[in-house]
Amino acid sequence: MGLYLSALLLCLKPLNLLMIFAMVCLGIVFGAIPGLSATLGIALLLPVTFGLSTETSFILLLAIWIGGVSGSFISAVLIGIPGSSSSIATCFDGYPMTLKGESNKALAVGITASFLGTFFSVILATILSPIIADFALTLGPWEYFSLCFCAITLVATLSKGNIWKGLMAAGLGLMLGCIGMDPINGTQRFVFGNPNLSSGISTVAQMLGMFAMCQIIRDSARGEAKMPEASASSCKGFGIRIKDYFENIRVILFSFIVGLWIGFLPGMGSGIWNMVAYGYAKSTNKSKTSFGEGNPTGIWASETENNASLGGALIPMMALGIPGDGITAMLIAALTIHGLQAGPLFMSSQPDLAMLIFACVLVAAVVTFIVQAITKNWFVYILRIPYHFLYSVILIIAYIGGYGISNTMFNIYVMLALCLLSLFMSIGGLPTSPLVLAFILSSKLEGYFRRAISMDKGSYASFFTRPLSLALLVLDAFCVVWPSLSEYLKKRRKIAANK
Amino acid sequence: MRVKRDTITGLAGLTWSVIWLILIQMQTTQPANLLEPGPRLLPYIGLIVVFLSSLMLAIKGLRDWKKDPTPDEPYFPEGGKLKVARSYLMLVATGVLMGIFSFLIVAPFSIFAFIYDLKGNSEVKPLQVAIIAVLVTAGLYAMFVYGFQVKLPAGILFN
Repeated sequence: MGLYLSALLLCLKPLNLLMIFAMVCLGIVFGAIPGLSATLGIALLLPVTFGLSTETSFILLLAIWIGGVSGSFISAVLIGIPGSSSSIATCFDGYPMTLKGESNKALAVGITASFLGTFFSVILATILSPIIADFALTLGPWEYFSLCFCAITLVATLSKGNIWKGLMAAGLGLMLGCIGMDPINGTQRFVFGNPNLSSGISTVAQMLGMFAMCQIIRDSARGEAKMPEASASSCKGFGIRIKDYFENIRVILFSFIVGLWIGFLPGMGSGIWNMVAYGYAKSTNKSKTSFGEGNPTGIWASETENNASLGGALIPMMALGIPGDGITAMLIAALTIHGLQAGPLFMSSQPDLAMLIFACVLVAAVVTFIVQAITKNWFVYILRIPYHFLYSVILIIAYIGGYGISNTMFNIYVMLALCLLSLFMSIGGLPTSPLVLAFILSSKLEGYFRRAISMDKGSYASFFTRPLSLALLVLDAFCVVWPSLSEYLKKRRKIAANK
Repeated sequence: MRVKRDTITGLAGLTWSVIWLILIQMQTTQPANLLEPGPRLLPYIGLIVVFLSSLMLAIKGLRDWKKDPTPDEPYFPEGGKLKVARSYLMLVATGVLMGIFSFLIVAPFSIFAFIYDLKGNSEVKPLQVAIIAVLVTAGLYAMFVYGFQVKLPAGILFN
């Protein structure tokens, strides 16, 4: 508790608070503009943090994350296009409210729901992470291997599109992860005599190439960079009353629990579960027909869910060192850049930094709420920024980031090559998140597996005799088999119904 | 006959699997032993995953094609392929030129080119774009070099 309070006080120092404020504002801009995201914001910011202290770096990165995730509802409400897939359901009622001249209320609900989701989920993450980390210390390489394997399989099988596409992307991620030295005996693989490759492919170069560069040129070529003009009614007052909270308390609680659980499980994707929370709100509401025509309960459900997933994602990242999505993968990469190893030992060896991370997220959530509440009448201007100017600056920052990794041009070429790979993957319909997760977890996966085999003197039996390891492997198998099985069962049911 | 995009993706994956197999043989020489699977393990796992999923994807594409032989919607609209190729070449040119002439010289021209490339149907004034390009370059240079102490490409000509 003492450590947490001192971390909280560190975040509240004027300079740190100023940095949180600036990054939250930047994050809101990144979250609000469709096509940009908190992930991209962190990818661009990562190289900036190379020369900064670990504490300052994390304050910057976490603040942009919170601002970015929270800001995604703005475009959903004002122009009917979600800032990210996790705000899809916000469009259903947010935009109709704007069309009815109730944008002030819609934005106020979005701001409050985002705040409630983030704030309480982070408090829970702060309480639960040390407990889970203590438990994780009792696990061996068998369980860790199964956990990493489970994370990759879940992301690959549950990502959008066909299961084979997800698995193919994960396979490509494993292949990319093979480049460089192997984690057990340091044998060089696929380096082709190039010393720049011996430490492997840089995560930052990968993120910048695959997220920033590829996304910008692809969206521009597909004509997806054009957005409708935003307009909003400005009015005095916050827009909602205390009564509104109590009227929606059941929906808020349900969406919060769904969001927290989904954030905790790797690769579940807030997009689908956003709809689940929305569906619950609709099915339990007395005026079902008003949904889709501007019912604020829909926004409460959607925004509480997607922001609660943020605290949920912090738990496996902090307690187990396993990223749940692209953003937490980058935060783990940021820890590595600063010479730290995420995982159960991190909580005990670096308790001050661990508490700083939780405290910073909490402070950033409060700052985001205040900034959004004060500036909500100006949100329309964010969406009026000319995209060609913004994107051009982002592309140039990507070059700076690529160069800054090792002060060589090599990582810029890697970034360009991965941009091309990502472009081909998009054309083929392959999702990028399984590749990113498999790439990040590949060295851990290999390390734990080979260590487990060595400890068992060449035997594979322990993977199946240790209960947690077995349970996770069974879950993996289920995830792979379930899509085909459910399709088969559906067909059987159809045939039976026709007979 | 135009096959489905899934089949093409699957075939590309299968081709890559063959190339990867050759690379494994050439690049990793240490074999497995009785105690430890060795450094070839992960490359082989990657290979198996990509090979199997590519195969299944190719088969799925063929099955879909048999059910409905109408070709897939093109991924890019008309002129999109050319536009994405042009944008990518611009990115590569910027990377190569930055390595030769330094960030300060190349960045303003690149920003100018990027703005024109990404503007779509929006109208932009050349003078306004040129001023923005120079100001953004100067701002980024000051911010990164003096503010964050991050080095920028110096260019082999000036190194």
